[in-house]
Amino acid sequence: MNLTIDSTIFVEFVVNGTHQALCYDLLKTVYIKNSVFLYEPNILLFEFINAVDRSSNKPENNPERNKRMSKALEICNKFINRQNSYFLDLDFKLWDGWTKHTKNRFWHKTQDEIFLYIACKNKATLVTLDSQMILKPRCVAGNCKVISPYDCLKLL
Amino acid sequence: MNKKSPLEKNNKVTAREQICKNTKEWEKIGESVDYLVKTSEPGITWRDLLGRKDESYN
Repeated sequence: MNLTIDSTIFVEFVVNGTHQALCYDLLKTVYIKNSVFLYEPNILLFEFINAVDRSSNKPENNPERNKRMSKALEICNKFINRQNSYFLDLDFKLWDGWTKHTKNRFWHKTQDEIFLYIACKNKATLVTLDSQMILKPRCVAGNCKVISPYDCLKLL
Repeated sequence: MNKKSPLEKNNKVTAREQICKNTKEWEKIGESVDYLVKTSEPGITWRDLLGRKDESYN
């Protein structure tokens, strides 16, 4: 099975949120299963590390903050090095095209498009907590299959 | 004729072995996740952290 997992899942996975346990179960299953191919945009790593940094209000150079960052990097590296995981680069021209296409330069809308595009191009199902993406699964490459982590776990 | 050495043969990882390897590696990830969850600010959501708004494309 080909999957792309958007930032909402990875971020919820490391914060004390409502769906933390669900996202944990999903990512654990995906990580362990040999038959799941993971296609991720590189921007995911940037978003994930940033979110981890902002999820604790510790000042810079605080030992706990540094430890949190090192834990986040460990998680990223494990997923990068997992067999059947592919982290994909972005083309700036394409990105610029998207921001013009959506007629605005709102960062979060561009992010949504990147995840949808990567999923479409790799014939992968996109997993997200964002209901807007489930309701409107379209991008410049066409429509793709977008599901919730709960539905994804049922498929795995 | 190129014959595989015994070492090369042994390096062939079966699907079951790969799953076992992944399961062991997950223990380390699980520990890191536990630490991050315990030390994150209470009540924070993925929306707060990603700056995504609940609005449609249009």
